[in-house]
Amino acid sequence: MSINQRKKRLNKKEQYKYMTRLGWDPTYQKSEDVYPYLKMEGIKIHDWEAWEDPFRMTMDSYWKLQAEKDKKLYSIIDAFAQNNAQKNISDARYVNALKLFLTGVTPLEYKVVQGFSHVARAFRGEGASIACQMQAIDELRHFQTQVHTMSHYNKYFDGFHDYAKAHDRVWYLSVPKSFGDDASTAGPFEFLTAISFSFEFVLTSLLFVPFMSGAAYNGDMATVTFGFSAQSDESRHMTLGLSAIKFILEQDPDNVPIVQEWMDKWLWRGYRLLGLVAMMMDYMLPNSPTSWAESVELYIEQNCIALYKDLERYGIELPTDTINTIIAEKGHLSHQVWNIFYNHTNAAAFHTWMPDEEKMNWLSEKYPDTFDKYYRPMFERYIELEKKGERFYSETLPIICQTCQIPLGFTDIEGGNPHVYTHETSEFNGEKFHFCSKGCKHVFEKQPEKYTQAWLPPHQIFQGNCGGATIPEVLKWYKIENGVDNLDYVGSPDEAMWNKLKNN
Amino acid sequence: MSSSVALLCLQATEDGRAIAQAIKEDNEGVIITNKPAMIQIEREGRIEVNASTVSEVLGREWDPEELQLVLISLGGQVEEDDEQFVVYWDN
Ligand SMILES: [Fe+2]
Ligand SMILES: [Fe+2]
Ligand SMILES: [Zn+2]
Repeated sequence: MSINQRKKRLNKKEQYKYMTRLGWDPTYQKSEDVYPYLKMEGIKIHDWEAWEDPFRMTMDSYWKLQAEKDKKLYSIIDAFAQNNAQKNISDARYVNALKLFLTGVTPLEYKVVQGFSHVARAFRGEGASIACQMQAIDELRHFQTQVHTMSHYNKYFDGFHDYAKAHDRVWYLSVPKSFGDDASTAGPFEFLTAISFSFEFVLTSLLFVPFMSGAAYNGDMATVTFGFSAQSDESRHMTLGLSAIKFILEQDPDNVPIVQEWMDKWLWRGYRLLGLVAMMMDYMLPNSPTSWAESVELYIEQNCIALYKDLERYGIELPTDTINTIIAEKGHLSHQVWNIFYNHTNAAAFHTWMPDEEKMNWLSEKYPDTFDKYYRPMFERYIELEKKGERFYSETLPIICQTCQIPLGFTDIEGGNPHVYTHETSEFNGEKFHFCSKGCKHVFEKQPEKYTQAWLPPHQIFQGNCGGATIPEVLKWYKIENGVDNLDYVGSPDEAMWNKLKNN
Repeated sequence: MSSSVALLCLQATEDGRAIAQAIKEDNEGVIITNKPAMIQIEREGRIEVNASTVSEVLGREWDPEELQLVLISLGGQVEEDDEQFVVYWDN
């Protein structure tokens, strides 16, 4: 059968070599003019060829695998819609976590598309550039599949109608927005450190894995499928990010302190952003498979520390202060963030509620040192007020952190006073700025010119840039329908719709 | 001697379960936990996924590249070639 004998195929290494080394050296333009951002951050690269994709991904295998992933995903989304599977979720409260995801996280994916497209153009090495292009396409896929998956819920529930505008305007969404803006206005090497390393490697698992597993636990197979489909790309991104960081560190010892500062900054910024996820996991999932504290133990105390240990040989040090803060806060974070949102749901694009007795018991069990002592009594007080018809909504605008844009609602946990609110301040050009934490103050003080430009929702509201100064005026500008998209879950049109769905 | 724990999270699908089975055969002392919709795999230092073992369990040819279809997340550095996918810590 010699006629059918196939030619021996190239092995992965050879194939990668032939399929990715497609660049050229500029001859009639100066290299600095073609790659204008390579030097601005002080990073020195001597040999771009030294970076190689650890997966040795080439475009042909990339398209094949991604097409397979998408085919699987869309067949599950179709089945979900055909079977009216929104009826099979644990409870309609769950849908509010998806609203937060669609308005908070999905637009971030799009920011990352822009960032990686820029980085792909800015980098000199073809291997690195191609990997960044593929990642940009991945992130676009994540953005699209998330919007497609959740569009099904939009047929039944409120709050999904204008996620893009919401992301640009609504006060708490300035938290993810400022994170994405900060990263994508940095130079190419800082962007890579921020997203590939700190966000992808250290934090995406915290975001996607327990939350998506939680979606499965609450009967939402459509969401778990997009989550895992996206996260399988993320695990490739994590590996690329780590190898890119090692490459930068190996190229020149002068790169080490610069990269260290970025790693510290972005670990903190990413962690603060995930405060939203802490609350989603512990409060917004009716059935929670894993607590925020348990996730911190696996992904920060185990994984993140192992990761830094691997980088010690390059001169990188574990940011001990940050890690200690994360560990100290792990028993408090989700409760404090939920408290902030419960008080401000009158201006949010989703509903909140107080945990029922069963949920409170779960929280006591998962947080034996903190929940009963600090948070259960507070929540029981809120429930008493609700019963008397005096459900409390804050009518004032919070002071928010100049760096992370989270309201100053955290307490002095590390100082041993978890019941006392605390914050930090700093002065720049004769003006005073406020921060939620030492970490955010530190980030600000390294680059005050950047963060003084932050678009802070309360300031903008008072300056008359958000439709007016009263809550109804601002809500209108947000495109949030008062009494429909916001306020308590109990008594909302969502609740009514859910009851109707369940009784048919 | 390594003290850091290498981690793989796989989707709990037919392929995912077969890969977990192959990992169990090839990696002594590995800890496998079933979670909602996923399989969590942990082992000190390193986890090896061998294409030949996975092919045997699945009863068909399997390429390490296909791991990406079921891989949710990982903790560790990665080495991949035509025969093997390894996730490991270097400390
Ligand atoms: Fe993504
Ligand atoms: Fe990513
Ligand atoms: Zn802050």
